[in-house]
Amino acid sequence: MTEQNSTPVTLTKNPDGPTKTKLKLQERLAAVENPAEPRQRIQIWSLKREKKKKKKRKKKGEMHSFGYRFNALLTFAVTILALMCAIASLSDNLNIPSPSAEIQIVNINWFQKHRQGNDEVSLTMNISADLQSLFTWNTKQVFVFVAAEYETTKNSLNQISLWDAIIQAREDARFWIHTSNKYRFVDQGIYLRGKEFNLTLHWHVMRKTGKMSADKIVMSGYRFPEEYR
Amino acid sequence: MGWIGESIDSIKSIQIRQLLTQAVSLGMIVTSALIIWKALMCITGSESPVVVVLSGSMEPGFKRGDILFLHMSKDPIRAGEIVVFNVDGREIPIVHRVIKVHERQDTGEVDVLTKGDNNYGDDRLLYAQGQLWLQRHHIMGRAVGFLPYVGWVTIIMTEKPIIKYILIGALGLLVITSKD
Repeated sequence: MTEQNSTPVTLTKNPDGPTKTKLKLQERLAAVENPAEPRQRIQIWSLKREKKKKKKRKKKGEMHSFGYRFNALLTFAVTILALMCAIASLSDNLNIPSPSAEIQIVNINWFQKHRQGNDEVSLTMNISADLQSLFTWNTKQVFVFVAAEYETTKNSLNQISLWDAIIQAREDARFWIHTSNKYRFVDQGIYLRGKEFNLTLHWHVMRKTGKMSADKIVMSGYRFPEEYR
Repeated sequence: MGWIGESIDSIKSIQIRQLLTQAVSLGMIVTSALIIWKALMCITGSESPVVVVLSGSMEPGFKRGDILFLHMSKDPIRAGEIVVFNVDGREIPIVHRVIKVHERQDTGEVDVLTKGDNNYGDDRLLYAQGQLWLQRHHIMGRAVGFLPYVGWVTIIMTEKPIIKYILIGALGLLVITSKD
């Protein structure tokens, strides 16, 4: 035993199966017997670990490592996308809009009591507005509409949209339009004669990312005629 | 071919303890999804907090396949808001914008008329026969935010059910064969 241990070189030259395993066993034994040789020990340990790893890899298969990589990449990409969206929507807070609008009622085309018993009116307006300051690089569209708002003894609030538009570009956000009401202006009841009402320009901003927001300009002091015409 | 054989091997090598662990983790996934959905219902106050846009009637604001987040608060409904409503006799809810509001003086009830931004006329044709206004109870919530494209997954899955089964099968196999 001690003899063979002293001459390992000659043995490795002879690649016989059993002798080789014998040698390995002897090597291990020697390492246990002689702890002064840490190098050998380490080698054996690492061999063992390699074998274990190989076994594990074989068990799991390659599919998993691909799946894990793909998952990690996807998670990372989505995180970055979410972060960028958050920054973009936060950047909208830096913009302080200062829109302006003016609405003129040019003509009351007609004003009647309906057969069902509701007042209906048709009117022509001049609308001019400058909403350019609402637009930032994160704005998808601005929905703008003019609503007549008034209170009657029956209803605490009536909102009737008269005209609306979708603005998608900053260049189109400054406009002047001469129009009659796009939607029918019908009251619930017969309360419109001599009634005072507001015309309100509302806008709803839809962003590419982030919250939708809305605001309005109220213009008051409009009045219906005292008699049907 | 390699990994199929290995997958079969791994299925064969499953022990009862592993099987239990996998069943529990699968249950965890399902229940956590349910918990998130119910929690969203509580927070938003809407019976379906997330809806998918199915038509182009709100273009260019909302396109087919966008996901909308709904919120149902006590705030009164006002013109210009985008609401999701159910019409009697119609299964699928509709997402449109409010154009007329009449709020009653004594009871506070509201009559609401809606219209799709991309439609020519108002929604009276979509409402039930003879219905002129929407009331509060028709409205499921108002849209507060949206996520583009994500809803396509649902649209594709409802229109082509085969893809749904393939996807569920693949996911199930992945859960069974994974060891961690």
